[in-house]
Amino acid sequence: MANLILNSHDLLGKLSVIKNSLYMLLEQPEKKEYLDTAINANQELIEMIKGAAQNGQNTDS
Amino acid sequence: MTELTSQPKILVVEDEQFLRQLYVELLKGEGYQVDEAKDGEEAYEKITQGDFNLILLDFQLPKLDGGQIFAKLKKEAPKKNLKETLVVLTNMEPDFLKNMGLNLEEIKGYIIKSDYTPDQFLNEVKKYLN
Repeated sequence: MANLILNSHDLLGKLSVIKNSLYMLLEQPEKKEYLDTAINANQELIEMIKGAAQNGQNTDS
Repeated sequence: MTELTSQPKILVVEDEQFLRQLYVELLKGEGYQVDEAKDGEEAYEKITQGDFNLILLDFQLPKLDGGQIFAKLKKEAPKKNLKETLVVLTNMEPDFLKNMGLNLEEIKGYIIKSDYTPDQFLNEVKKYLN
């Protein structure tokens, strides 16, 4: 496990995209593109955290 | 007959494509005239050339950030009434904006994007327009 250094702007930006796209999907369930947007933003968030963790490990070693 | 030109004109400045498109669609759905910009340079150009009732300005932008745009407008376009038109979009608390050198007394207000759903965002915009 690594301590992470993340850019709060990028992190909160991705979370805002997920929050807004899921809300829109709730309002308009027929528009599946909102689900794609949420899934993609979520994946980018995962990659961002993995990347930061990897950098943290590199820094530790 | 209602004239479309009487509707408030809003500029949406947001670098995140999904959020920019969402805000533009939401605001157009309410009947507002909406223009958009994806980075600081485009925003500065549109702000200086346009006459907006409300400018929704993401603070952290590529090319020119919100603080740089604000400082440039104060210096080079002092007649722009930012106190009446400029609303900063941010994901952070207001203290962050102050720490970034923005005097909140000199703008109309701010919207913390990450705190709001689309409906709540629209309500905030309407409050600022009133």
